[in-house]
Amino acid sequence: MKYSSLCSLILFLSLLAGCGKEVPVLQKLEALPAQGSCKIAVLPFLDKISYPQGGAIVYKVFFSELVATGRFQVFPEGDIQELYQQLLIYPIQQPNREQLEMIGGRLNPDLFIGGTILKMEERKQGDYVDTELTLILHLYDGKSGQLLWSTYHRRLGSEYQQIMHLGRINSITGLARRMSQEIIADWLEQGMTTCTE
Amino acid sequence: MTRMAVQLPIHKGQEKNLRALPFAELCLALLIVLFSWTGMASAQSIAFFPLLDLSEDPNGTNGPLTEKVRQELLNREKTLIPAEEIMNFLVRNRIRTLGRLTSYQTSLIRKELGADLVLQGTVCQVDEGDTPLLSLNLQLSRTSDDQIIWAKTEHLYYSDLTSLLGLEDPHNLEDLYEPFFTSLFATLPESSDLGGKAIDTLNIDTVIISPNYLRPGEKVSCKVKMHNLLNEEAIQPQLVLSVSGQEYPLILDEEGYYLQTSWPAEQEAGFYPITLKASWPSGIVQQGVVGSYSVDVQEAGVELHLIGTEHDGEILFSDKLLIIPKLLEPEPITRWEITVTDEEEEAIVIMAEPGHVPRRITWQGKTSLGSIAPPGNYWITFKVWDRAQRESSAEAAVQFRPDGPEILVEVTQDEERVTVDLDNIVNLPLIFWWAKFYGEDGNLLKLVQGSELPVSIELEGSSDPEYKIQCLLTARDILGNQTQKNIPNLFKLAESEADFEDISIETEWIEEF
Repeated sequence: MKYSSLCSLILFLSLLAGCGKEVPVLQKLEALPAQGSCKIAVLPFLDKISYPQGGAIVYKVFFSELVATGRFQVFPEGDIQELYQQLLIYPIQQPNREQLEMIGGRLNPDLFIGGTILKMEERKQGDYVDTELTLILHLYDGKSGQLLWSTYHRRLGSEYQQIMHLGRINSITGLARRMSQEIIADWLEQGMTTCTE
Repeated sequence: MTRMAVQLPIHKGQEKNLRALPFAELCLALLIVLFSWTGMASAQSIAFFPLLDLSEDPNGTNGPLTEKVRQELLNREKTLIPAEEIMNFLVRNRIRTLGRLTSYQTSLIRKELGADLVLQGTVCQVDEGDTPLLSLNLQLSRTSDDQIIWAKTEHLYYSDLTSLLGLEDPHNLEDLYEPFFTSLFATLPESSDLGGKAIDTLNIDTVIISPNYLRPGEKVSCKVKMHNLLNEEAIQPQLVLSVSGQEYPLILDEEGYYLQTSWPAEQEAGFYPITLKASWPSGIVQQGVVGSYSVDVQEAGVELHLIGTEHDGEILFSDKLLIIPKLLEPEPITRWEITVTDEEEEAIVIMAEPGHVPRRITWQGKTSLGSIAPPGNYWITFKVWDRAQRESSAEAAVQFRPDGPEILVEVTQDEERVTVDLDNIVNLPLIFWWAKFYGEDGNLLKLVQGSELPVSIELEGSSDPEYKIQCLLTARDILGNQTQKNIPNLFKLAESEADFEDISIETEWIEEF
């Protein structure tokens, strides 16, 4: 092998390593609803972090990404909040199975998505920002409230950096968006059926 | 307009027919189609609501960015409902939270503002300083069926735009606007199919169930307030509540505000969902769970553990008593109360708090007013109330013994010897005692110590009538109470008893010295 070819191969492999994909860790406890996962109610995310409004920001971003796929019918956030008020569920608490059943009885979703933000950090480093986000998302049955799938995902904004500063994610919103896309893509890859299927 | 819109597919599917048309007519038809399509797009009015700003607080607003987004939409030739009308709508309908409109509110926007679409958004992050950052989330909903048809989150940090030469690097927030909004609105639909039909939903405004936890047979009351009906005919459905297979019709209350009904709770313990059924004259029946209540048939039960010193089957303490309440049937508790009652059945301590049972309570022998309680027997009563207001209580007795041991000293003498008898007149065992006897010249005559009393101590006597023996006496009981006495002259015990002085704390260090 010529020297130049060897150099090209090494460069190619190093680029591949730089683009290494950190896939979300999905645990399937039960099968998703047989009728598909078209109508989805996203429950307020819980956060165990000090980042101000961290849970609310990730919620908005994830919600948007779910809608942006164009493959789900997502219930408005306001409807979920209104039901929380009526059923006396605090937004900082995860509804129990009976409460999920009641919400399901009102909205008739196929799936509930709930989440917990475990870590959310932003640290300025010169011209860039080191971002880190760790979260767990749960998929519950829209009728019974039973936990079906659970996804753990952790990423750093610097992991997306390619050449120089390109690709690096410098905001927690950007990182949440990218991670939401990865989680949704993984769910679809793992067999989640949507409104369009 | 609808007819023209339908003709659009013909443009592709029937080329031969179009070719057959005269050129002028063809141009005219195309122009009409073009204008009508543009007109349809721009005619879709958008109600753009002020932005929720999460960088401020959970209910923050951002006026400047709201105005900027509004301007960007107008630059893209969107038809917007005037901002004043939006503000009036928010005030009129008492909408205090931005960024999360309900389906009902979206329907109201269609009815009151005539908007086809609703655009609401959230500022996730914003930094207007030297290192500008902007993160914005927008959602577009269709008012005809309350569906969210488009949503996007856009984020931009100044270093995302920096270049090698740094010629056009952003320095403030405004420098981010152009690339930011270009990207944000890149996928915003030019027009949307407005043919969606609203899903039939129960427009419930408020539900009040009282109480949520109750005993068998107690009265459950449920009040429901429905949103105003949006249909033109204002046809009211018949509303009933269904619980455990029983139906209870809802009746308008005296104020005409709530629909309400009540019924006796079930006899069996359990969780009972309440379903609202709406029967429309058309025969359609809608239903949904509006709440629930739980019937509790068993009290929590409580027992008390007192951590003190046990003696003859009784608990005693002198300094601190640890009280550990424990639920026998653990369940959520709404409130608890502790009382300490003296021998005359008078409560000297009363303390009550809402919430969970404390892991432990320390009583330092003080009354609720802060004074030290007198020594004696006390009864500690701990009560808890569960969510159904069932009361459980436990009681335990305790002896408060804050005083030190009382040592009786008796002296008998003759010419040859002096006998000192010591006795513990309080029925509480001692851990130790010691007595030191000093002669007139300060020499230590005798040191005696032990843990049991009574005891008889013999000292050498003297024929000198002025002869004096000083005694230092210390005793500590099992509660840690300590007595220290200095008797200057044992022979004048009766006279000087009133002059006994308590010794200040005597340390081992001083003794050894």
